[in-house]
Amino acid sequence: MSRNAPGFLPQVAFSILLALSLRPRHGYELMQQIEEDSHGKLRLGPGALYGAIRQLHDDGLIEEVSPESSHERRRYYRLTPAGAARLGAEVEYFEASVSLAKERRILGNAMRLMPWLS
Amino acid sequence: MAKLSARFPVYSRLLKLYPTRYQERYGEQMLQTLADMLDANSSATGRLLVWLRATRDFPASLFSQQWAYAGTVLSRETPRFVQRNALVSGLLFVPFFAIATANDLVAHRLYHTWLWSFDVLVAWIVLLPAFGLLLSTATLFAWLRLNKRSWWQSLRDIAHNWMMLLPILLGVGILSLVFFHDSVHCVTGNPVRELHNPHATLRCVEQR
Repeated sequence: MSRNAPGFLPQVAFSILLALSLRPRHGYELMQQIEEDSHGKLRLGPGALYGAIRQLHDDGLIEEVSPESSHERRRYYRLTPAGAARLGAEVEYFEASVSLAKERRILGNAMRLMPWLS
Repeated sequence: MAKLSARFPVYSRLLKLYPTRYQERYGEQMLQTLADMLDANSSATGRLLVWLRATRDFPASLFSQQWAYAGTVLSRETPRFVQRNALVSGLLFVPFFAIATANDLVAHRLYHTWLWSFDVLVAWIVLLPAFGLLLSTATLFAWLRLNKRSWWQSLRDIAHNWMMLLPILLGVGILSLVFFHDSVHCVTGNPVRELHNPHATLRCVEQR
C-alpha cells in the first residue's frame, strides 16, 4: 500500500494542510489555527510544528512565500497545487469513512454495537 | 537571529543539537515562534505553560530530526565505499557476538570445543574484531578527508558518521574486554601470553 495513499498523512501534517487551506500563515498562526480547528486537542510545540513543516516542504506539499516586507522575520507557508490535491484526497477519504461509520451506526455507539470489545 | 538568541540563550543553544541543515533552515523560525507564543501570553502561568510545551516537545522532535537526517545521509550522501566498508566491519564482529551468545546459551559447554582451540580463538576474539576496528577507522578518516568541512566539524556530526563510529566503538569495546578481562591477569598479566594458554586461563577464571 502506498505511503501517499489518502489516510496516511500524519495527524499534524494533515492539520497543517487544513490550516493552510484558508491562507498562507507563519509558524505561530499555524499553531493557533491548528489548536482552534482541533478544539484545543492538538497543541504543538515549535519542534513538532517545524518537523512536520520540513517533511511537507520536502514532499512538495507546501512552499515558502516571499515576505512582503524585508523587515519581516517570520516565514510564511502556503499550499502548493500538490498539497491542495493531497488535502482534497485526504478529506474525501475521511468523508467516505465517516459516511460508512454513520451507515453502520458506529458513531458514538461503537461499544454497544460491538459487545465483544467490552 | 542574534536578538532572539540573546533573549533565549538556553533554547537557542539547545537548537544547535539539531542537524546543521535543519537548524539553519528552521532554527530562527523556531525561536521566532517561541517568542510569538510567549508574547501572546501576558500571565506568568501562560508563559510557564508555553515553556512546558516547548520543553516537552523538544526531545522527541530532536530525535526524529536526527533520525530523519541519518536516514537521508545514509541513502543519499554516503559514498558506496563507506556503506560497503561499514557492512564488512559489522560482519567482522558477528562471530564474536554469535559465539559468545551461543556459549552462554549452552552453559559454557563450547569451552571444550574446537571454537576454543588456540588458532580459532585468536581469530574470532582478536583478529576479526581488530580488522573490523582498523577498517572502520581507516574508512572514517578517508571519508573525513573527502568532506569539505573541517575534520572537527565532520567528526561532531554523529548522524553523518554513525555507521563508522558504531563499529569503532564495538571494536574498541571487544578488544578492551579481551585484553583487560580478569582472565588476562589470572594467568600472566600479559595479553599475548594469555592467548597462548586459553585452557589454563579458563580453569583459572572458573576457580575465581
